[in-house]
Amino acid sequence: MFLKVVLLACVASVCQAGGLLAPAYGYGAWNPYNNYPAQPAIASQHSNILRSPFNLGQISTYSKAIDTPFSSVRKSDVRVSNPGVAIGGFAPAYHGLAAPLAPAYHGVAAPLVSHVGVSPYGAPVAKVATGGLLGVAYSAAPAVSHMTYTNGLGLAYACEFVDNDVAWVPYKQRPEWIDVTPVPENDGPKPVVVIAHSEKFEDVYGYFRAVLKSNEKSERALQLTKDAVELNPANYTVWQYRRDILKALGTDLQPELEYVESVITHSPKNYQVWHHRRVLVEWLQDPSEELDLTADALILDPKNYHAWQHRQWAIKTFGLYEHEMDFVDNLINLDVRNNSAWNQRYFVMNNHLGWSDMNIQKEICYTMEKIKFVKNNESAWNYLRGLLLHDKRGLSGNCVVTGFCEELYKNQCRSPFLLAFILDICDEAIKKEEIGVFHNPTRGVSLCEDLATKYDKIRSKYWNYVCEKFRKARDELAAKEDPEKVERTI
Amino acid sequence: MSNQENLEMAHRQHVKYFMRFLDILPSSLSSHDTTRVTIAYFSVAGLDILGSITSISLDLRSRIIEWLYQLQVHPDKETGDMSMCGFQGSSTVNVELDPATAHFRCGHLAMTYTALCSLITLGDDLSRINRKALVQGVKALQTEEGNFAATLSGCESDMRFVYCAACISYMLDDWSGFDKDKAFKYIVQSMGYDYGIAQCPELESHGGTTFCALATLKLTNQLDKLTEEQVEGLKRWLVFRQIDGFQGRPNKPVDTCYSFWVGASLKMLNTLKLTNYGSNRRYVYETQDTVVGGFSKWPDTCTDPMHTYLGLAGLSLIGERGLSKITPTLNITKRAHEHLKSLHEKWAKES
Repeated sequence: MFLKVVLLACVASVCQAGGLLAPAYGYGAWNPYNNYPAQPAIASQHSNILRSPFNLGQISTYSKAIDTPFSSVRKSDVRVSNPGVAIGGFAPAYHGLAAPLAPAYHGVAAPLVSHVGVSPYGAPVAKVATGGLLGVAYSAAPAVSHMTYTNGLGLAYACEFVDNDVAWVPYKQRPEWIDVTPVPENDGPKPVVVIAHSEKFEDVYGYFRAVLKSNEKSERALQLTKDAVELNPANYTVWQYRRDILKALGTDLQPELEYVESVITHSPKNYQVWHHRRVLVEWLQDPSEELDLTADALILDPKNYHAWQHRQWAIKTFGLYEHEMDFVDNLINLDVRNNSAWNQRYFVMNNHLGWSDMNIQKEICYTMEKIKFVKNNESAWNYLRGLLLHDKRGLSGNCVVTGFCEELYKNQCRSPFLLAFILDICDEAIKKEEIGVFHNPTRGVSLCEDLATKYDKIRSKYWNYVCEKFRKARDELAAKEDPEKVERTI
Repeated sequence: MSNQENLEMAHRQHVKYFMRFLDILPSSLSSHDTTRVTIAYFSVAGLDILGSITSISLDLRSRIIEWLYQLQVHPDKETGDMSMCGFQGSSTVNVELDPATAHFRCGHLAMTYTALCSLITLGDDLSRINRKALVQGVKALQTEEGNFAATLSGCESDMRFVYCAACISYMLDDWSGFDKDKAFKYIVQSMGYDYGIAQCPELESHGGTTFCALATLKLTNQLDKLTEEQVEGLKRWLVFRQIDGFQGRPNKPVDTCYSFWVGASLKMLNTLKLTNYGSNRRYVYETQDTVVGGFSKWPDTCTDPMHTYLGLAGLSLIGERGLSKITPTLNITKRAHEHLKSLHEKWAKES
């Protein structure tokens, strides 16, 4: 019962996360989502990776909601790298251990454990191909999916799929491993931060240590590393040993590429898997799949840092720039606020298309169009500033840009990003001693004051700090223009 | 669950929360198996920020210290090789290996860094640390590019481990394993067109990696090598991360941990005071679990030790009452940092 309650609470929270996303992150006084085509009413999708410190391990949650006037579908999935089958047998033992820690188990660990906890009543559930639900199910790890469906008449169906590895035979019972004595973990007499691993985990890692100790490089050892990384994809030692075996056996690497792709689909924010992929591609000197692989990962999460890093590496190493700008265009069209995509745009310009005057002008026009579409978009404004780093006239000398800014200003746009941009133009004009009607210290002071008191109040102290610089410049200018007046004031 | 107006620190619950993580964790956390030392660090350092380091009994203190020391990898007995020296994150591969696979038993920079932080916070005198060996272990991991790999056994190299290497060198008071010029070059190359700093050159600027880079510059006394334009650009990029709490990248959701990553970066640039403490504080409190303790990245989501520690550290930076002050560069309390300085003085006298 306890498990059931926790389970429900957890499902609710997972589902909620997607829906909450929009309202929870209100952007203070100004709302950058103002002019943005609203989508959340129709569908929301949310994935969340609970990562370990330094992102060395992970638990992923994924939820999706689709609402139409007639029906409503909610689906959530939580995956942990742990064998569900062991829970049935092991859970009671763990409960015994955890008894004095009851509160801990409730609030802290429970949200993470709860889906595994389903298995007591899920045990006899037939193995369901989770692949059909969520793509690739490569692992024996418990993939527990929850799906509820409500039709327009209020009839609701709920089902749970538990993918337990019912056919699992422990290594210690396998005749082909009879010649190997497992090496238990030696955690010392009084360990802390103990993880109550499953029996399966203990079994597999006992044999992994034995194999590592004897330096066995064989087919069965290769299979063993697969079981070991499935239990903990963040174990970099297992991945490295796996690579050593692949090399020693001269194994065909094509299936390995497919295998790691399935692991990436499963754990898209795991450093070790992406590293494994990179080493394989280096060995094969074949990057032909990399753009598709990363594109797939970026469909699921367009800001996945790992995917971008791998993609940039592949493009740079193998010169795959040719269609990259189209890819970027597409992503920016899908979400003009995708900062990762804007960064990639800069990457393509910087390494491939180059900063010729014409290219800079083309990019300026493109960016201005995007800013006209959504004015309060930091990503586009930052990119515009980045472009002008390559314009020898600087930030303040390109009249297309300065004219564009003044036009927006005249039309009552008061986005902090616009005002900050004009401020920077003023700053540069002052430094270059090219003060004009629009760009001068007095305008700088007034923009800072507007930002601090009206348009970007959360940063009021920062804008006051910036203002000091302009006040100083204003006073110096006044002194220059009319030394006597200043003398009189003194 | 969260009460937006509830700005009371659930102090007692957080103490209990960390104490539980020091004890035993469920099997569902098996994927954290290789990083147990970091969980110990978040718990020990978290208790210290809460001013409750004394919740750790003398017996538990010695258990933690013994357990950590057992994870120190010593020089090869035969060859004297020190390249694998450091701390492992757990005892998963803590077995005697033959020469052919001996390199698999090696330290990991993040584990060495967090093990040292934990030992210092617990008041250990580091007398059982093989300082020379650890420094050689760091040296073996710096790449031509200037960044660091985490470990010898097949691993990516990036800004995170530049930071860990800098902290280790600082804490051991020995920079002979760390090429500061190369690291500086790498950091500047990783600065984006928006003046934020990324994991590696040309990637997207990120709050976490910006912290790693700035802390490294500060620890190596190289912050003043940045130009005024770069410093002002960084300030701008960092203050723009504040929405109510802080986000890690433009147009990404706010997350509790960036109250530390971005907050500490701003603190090092002496600019944190220009942000809005009230909004920041309110956001972090929204992610507090007042019933069983802990903080999460977002309101009403699962807590974890990392976000709990960083949430508290972020609040400490803005002077939250009842919390110990921290040194942002090393991410330990000032109290622990003072202890470290006294060790440095002792070592200086000995040499």
